[in-house]
Amino acid sequence: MLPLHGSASIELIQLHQKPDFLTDYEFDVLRLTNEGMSPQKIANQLNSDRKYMNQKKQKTPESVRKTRVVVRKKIERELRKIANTLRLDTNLRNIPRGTGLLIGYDWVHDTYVYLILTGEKGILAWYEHECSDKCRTECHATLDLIRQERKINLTPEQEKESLLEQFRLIISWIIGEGS
Amino acid sequence: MKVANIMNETAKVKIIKGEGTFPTPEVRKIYPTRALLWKYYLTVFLIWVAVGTGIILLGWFLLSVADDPPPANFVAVVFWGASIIILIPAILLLPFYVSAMEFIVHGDEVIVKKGLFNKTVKYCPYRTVTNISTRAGILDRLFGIGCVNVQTAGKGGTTGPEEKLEGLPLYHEIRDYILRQLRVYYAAVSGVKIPIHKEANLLTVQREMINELREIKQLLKQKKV
Repeated sequence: MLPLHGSASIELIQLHQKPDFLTDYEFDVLRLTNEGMSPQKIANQLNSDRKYMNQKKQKTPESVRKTRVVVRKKIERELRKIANTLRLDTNLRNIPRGTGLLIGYDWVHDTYVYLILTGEKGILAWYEHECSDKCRTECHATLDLIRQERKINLTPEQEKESLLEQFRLIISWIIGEGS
Repeated sequence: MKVANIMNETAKVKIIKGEGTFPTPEVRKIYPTRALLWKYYLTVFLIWVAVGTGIILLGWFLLSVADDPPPANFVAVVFWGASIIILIPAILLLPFYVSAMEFIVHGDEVIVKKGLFNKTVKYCPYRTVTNISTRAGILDRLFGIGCVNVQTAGKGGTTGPEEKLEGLPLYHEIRDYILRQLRVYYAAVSGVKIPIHKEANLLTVQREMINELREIKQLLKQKKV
């Protein structure tokens, strides 16, 4: 196993704005989960929230847990939709669920593509490439963003590797730990 | 998919392709989608309906025409017996059969791995490939999949493709990819400059350049040591 530390789960990624595919309630559950709250506390907080006060059904820890599963599924579905639009072959095996990551293969560019959910920039599609001087800054910023959000630390030796290798390390770590 | 939908979907994602070169993947493995399993199930179901209809019609004919008709439950016994013989093995074994399929596309050959009890691995080197075609039948189109047929020179006069890469949703892209590889292969073998796809050509050149640079880097490192 790689000597990395961090989180592979999407539930620890702080989304900056509500994506279209999530409802207000689902987004609130995800947001409160990100803050480290238990399902019981989330249910209590949402029941006291004015937005949900008039609803007939009270929120329970069970309903919060169910919503978390729904959120994971919705994110996966969204990643798959985007992969279909980009004409990516996503039928690769051993892709873990609930990590906000989808690996596809682009037959036209003949390279792997990583679809990854980030809190700040939404869904990113990173085509595996050896960076040139033109794109190094942008790719470095993307890599740092993923590392920061998932709290992944690389060792000094790993940081000396090329950006592509660092990206591969992080992706393989997410795959290995995220299931 | 409608153009508006495609635009909506692509607007949701930030695409980073970079300005550099795409690395050559070590291996390109393709697996059939789960839709292939559903297609097989539907095919088995249709066969079951056809065979069942045949048995019922035959039974009805025998009961009405024969001087010494079989017992009344004879048709039902034959029908359910045939159903068990067709359906149960299909339901149990097909998922394993589909998951055992694997297609590998290399720079110089296509490898097809199939089989549940008898595992077969077939190699189709590009030098023997004579034709590449795609096929999407009614059932394939129903499930959004297709098939890439690879025909080779050594098939011995029989009809039909040598190898089938089944259950692929992106069968057009895979066919184009194999065709590009074939063109690059024949261009390298014959020395004749064959016009290839601009993007693929660029990729090949970029990869050759990066490989050259890597070799130079390694040589320089060795000299330093």
